[in-house]
Amino acid sequence: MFELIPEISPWLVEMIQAITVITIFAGLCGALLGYASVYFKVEGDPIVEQINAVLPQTQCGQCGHPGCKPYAQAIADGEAINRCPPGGEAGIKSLANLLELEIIPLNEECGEESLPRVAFIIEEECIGCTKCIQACPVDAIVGTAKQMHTVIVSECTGCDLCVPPCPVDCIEMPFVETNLINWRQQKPNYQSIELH
Amino acid sequence: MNSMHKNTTLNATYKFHGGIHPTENKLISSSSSIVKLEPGKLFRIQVNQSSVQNVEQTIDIIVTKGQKVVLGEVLTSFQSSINLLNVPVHSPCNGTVLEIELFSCGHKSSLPEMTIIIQANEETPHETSVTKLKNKWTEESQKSLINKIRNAGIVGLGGATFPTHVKLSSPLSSDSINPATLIINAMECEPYITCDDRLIRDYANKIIEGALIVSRIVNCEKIVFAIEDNKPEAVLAIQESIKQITEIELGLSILVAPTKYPSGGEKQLIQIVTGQELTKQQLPKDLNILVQNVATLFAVYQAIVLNRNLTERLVTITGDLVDEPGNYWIPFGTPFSEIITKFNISKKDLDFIIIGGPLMGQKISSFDIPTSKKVNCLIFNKRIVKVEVKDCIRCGECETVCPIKLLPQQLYWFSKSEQWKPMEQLDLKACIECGACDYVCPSDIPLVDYFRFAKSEVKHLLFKEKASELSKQRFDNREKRLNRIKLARKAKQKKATQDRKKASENKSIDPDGKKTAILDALNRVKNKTKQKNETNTGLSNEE
Amino acid sequence: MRNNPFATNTRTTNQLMLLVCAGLIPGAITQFYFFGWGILINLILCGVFAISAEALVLKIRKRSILKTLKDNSALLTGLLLGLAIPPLLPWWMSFIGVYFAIIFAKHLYGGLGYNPFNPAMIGYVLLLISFPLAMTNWLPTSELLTLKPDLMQSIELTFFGVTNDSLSNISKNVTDIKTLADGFTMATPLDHIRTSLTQGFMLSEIQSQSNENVAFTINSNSWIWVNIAYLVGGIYLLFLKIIRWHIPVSIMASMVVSSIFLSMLDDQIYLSASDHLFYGASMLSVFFIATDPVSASTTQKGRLVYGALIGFTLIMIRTFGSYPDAFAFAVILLNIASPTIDHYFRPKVYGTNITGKKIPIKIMDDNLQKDNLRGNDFKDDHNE
Repeated sequence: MFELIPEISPWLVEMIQAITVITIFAGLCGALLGYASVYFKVEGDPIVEQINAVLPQTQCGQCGHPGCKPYAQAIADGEAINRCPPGGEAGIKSLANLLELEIIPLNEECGEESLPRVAFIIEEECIGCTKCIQACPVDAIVGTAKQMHTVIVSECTGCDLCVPPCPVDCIEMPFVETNLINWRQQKPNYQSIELH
Repeated sequence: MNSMHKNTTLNATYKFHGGIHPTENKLISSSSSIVKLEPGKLFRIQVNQSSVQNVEQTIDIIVTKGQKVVLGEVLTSFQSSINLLNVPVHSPCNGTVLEIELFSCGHKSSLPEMTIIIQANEETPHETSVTKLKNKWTEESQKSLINKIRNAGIVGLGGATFPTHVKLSSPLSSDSINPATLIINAMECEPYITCDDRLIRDYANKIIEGALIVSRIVNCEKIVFAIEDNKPEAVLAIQESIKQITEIELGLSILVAPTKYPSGGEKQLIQIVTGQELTKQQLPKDLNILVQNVATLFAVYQAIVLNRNLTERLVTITGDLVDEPGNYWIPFGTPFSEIITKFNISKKDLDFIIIGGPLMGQKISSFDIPTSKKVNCLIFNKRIVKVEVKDCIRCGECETVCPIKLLPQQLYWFSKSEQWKPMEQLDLKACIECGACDYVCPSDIPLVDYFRFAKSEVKHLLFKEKASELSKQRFDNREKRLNRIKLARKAKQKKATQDRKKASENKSIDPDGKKTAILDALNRVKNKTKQKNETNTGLSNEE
Repeated sequence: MRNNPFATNTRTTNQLMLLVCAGLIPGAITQFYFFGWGILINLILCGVFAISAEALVLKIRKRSILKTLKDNSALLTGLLLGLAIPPLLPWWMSFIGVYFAIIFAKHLYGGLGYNPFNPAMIGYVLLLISFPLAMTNWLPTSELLTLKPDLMQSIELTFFGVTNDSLSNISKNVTDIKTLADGFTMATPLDHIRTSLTQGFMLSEIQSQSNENVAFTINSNSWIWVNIAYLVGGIYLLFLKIIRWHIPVSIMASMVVSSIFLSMLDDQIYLSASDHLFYGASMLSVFFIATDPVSASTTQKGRLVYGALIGFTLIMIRTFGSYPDAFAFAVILLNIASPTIDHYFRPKVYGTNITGKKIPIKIMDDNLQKDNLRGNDFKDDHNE
């Protein structure tokens, strides 16, 4: 029978040789990849952790998700990266670098980027209802029922979530004041300099 | 040991990488002798005049509005503060406290600082008439000397204003390679400034005595007086004063280094004197070295020997617009406007004042700002020249002159594109902001500004990361707490439903609950009799 | 406005570029003397094209034209390209080369300071690959020519390709001009040597000082003079500290080392070191092209490596590659590598080079006083 092969096709032998070699090679590679995928498997989704590390952790919900971790998960599943106002442009840039996506401007519907704020409870008007304490995502308000509530300034992320629940509207959101410690230098952007 | 005391003047053998040679412009102000400036009427003294930030909140101001104060009276106290870096300030004149308020004192951010404003009301007595008593300090304990230095308000007067008592707080050790050394920094490498030069020429003895006091405090074995070679008269003065010292137990020598900027920087000075480089974690005291400026040593002398608090310093007033440039004793708190009137400087020719030298100084446009411990020179030059900033041509000159051997060009590119992580790898933190790279840049790019911007942004980024880490932790803790509460509630509910179910079952069998009560009673009796029988048999067994 | 420093040394980028153009003058004059009016026409044409290309691109990019033109970098690119291309090259070829260099190789990357490749060399390579015949058509030195074209004739040749021979009134083109008295053409020395080597001649025969070889000797001498002139210009730049010594010295050193190594293997096939250094456009590329600060390596140690590799590549392509003179390719290949070289050859930052060995402070030690003590005359002999 093998004498008939050259008649069927003069290149059959070469073809069979080529196909066999490539198949064996592909099989080896596939086996190697399969072994690697099992042996080097990483539990969980590391990209979600990396995205979460970039997000500012204010847990404000302006992106539409209840916290930063769910938004990180959503980004890993394909959501747009421009929904975080506290992270601002710098945050979008870091996410774009991390995920190798395009840098897009901040989504206006989610809010606008502003200077950092802190919450401040006007103590004369507070009635001690604890609604703001339950709303704060980082437990930055100290107080209990019928007692004075106050905001721990160093813990407050300025997320605004305590303002709507307050029934007497006694929470203000002033800007964080600039002092000699947290003062930031401007980027030099001039066309000419002065000399002697 | 007298054999150690020899008047040796040596030339420096080591040098540091890079450096520039700007035009010195020192002869304008160094040829005239020191003059004491007429005291002014109004003084504004900042409460925090040392380089340590975040100390304002822990300083107590012990004078009140309307209180009368005398020259040298202490205005702030640190007794109740836990911050060990506080240094008090003193009144520069006899007068009344007018106000204690926030005033913008020339910080580059233009933010206001707490300032005490004093109105002078009579002739402030001249220095020498205040006290003629000289303390003998050789028997005093080191701790009391350090306390005296702190109480006198002495900070590093070379321009960096680091609290001196902190630098002197731990004694130096000695080993075979590096003996405990005090290096006196008389380099004054920056153009225009000549206050240290004149101070040495006129007060060499007192500076040497100040150096001896400091060496006693930190147990030095050697003193090196490091000076640049453009100050020959100062070298002669020091040589004369060393000759007059009869008994001394330390090695004292003068090291003359070639004039190069920035040889006055602490790291570069240590490299010139010892040839060694400090690693990033090391401080000079790890190499058993202490560096002090001459003006600081003079202040130490005045504080320890003459009991005088630090209320004034020698300031170089120079520039084209000044009619009599030179070095003047100016009390702290003198507003620049008074200096402008005293020296007949025409305000319309003056665009801004430079505090310090042209390379590391600061530009001031408001003339109400007072002098302070940081101000060692004031330059009043005519209208300036504007030069255009061009693109970087990557010529590499900046790298050639950098004394820290950084790559300013790469730092510039990264700073411009706001990439902060690569800058950390390029050792941005090691930059001393000397301005040498800026000086040689042919495209006149403001490199030092970019680096300062980058440093501030990196600091801000670090702060943000810490804050977000903290928020994340608190958020996670809160989630855990809420989960715990939810689970506990669920478990309670489950238990309650089970109990209810059981109760309803029991009710169907035993509607009044009498049957269960009877059963329980019978069980109790059974158990009791069982127990009694067991104890009886136990007793019988023992017998 | 900005803060400290408030002083600067007065040399600006504009002056730097202008001084580099000035350094080209000795070489340009020598080239003009030996190769005729074509060189001058090329220089002027390429300069004009370069400036006009830059102005056009700046207009499209909406940047300030005068401010950017003042930094003389376009002028420098034009002049370099003008000196690298053969004289009497058709004007539209220089036009294409210069415009491509300025627009594509410089401004499309962002302008001055942003281009990874040397623009003049990109333009040169484009022309070399697209018009190989015209670009390798170097005139022999004017001493050897039968018809030496004067200014008007050179202009006509550059713009129209033909000119009238005033004596015989026949129109001639560049190939006719190139033909010598006895009918054969002579190209650059490197070209001639390469073709003769492939025909089987040995170097001693090609370079002999015999009567048959007069044409080659005269031609190669003029090229040696041109290179010496560029060397003089380069030393002038070094003296003014416009370029630093690292790149030129390392290129020349590695050229010398590679060619000595090769000629030790067989000195009849491989050119000697001095030939490599003084034939072709070696000195022009060593001092003016490879030292272009924007595309070269920036760290000092990196520059030594960069230069060494350029020299090596140059010799390799000249000897084993298919082009007789390959400075453009060598420079471009190393431009690709310069970021990597920069990354690996960074200087050791202060404080990171501690080897653990500490040097003792050499003062106040009685034994060492003799070495260090200089008494009171400290004013003399301090360095810098």
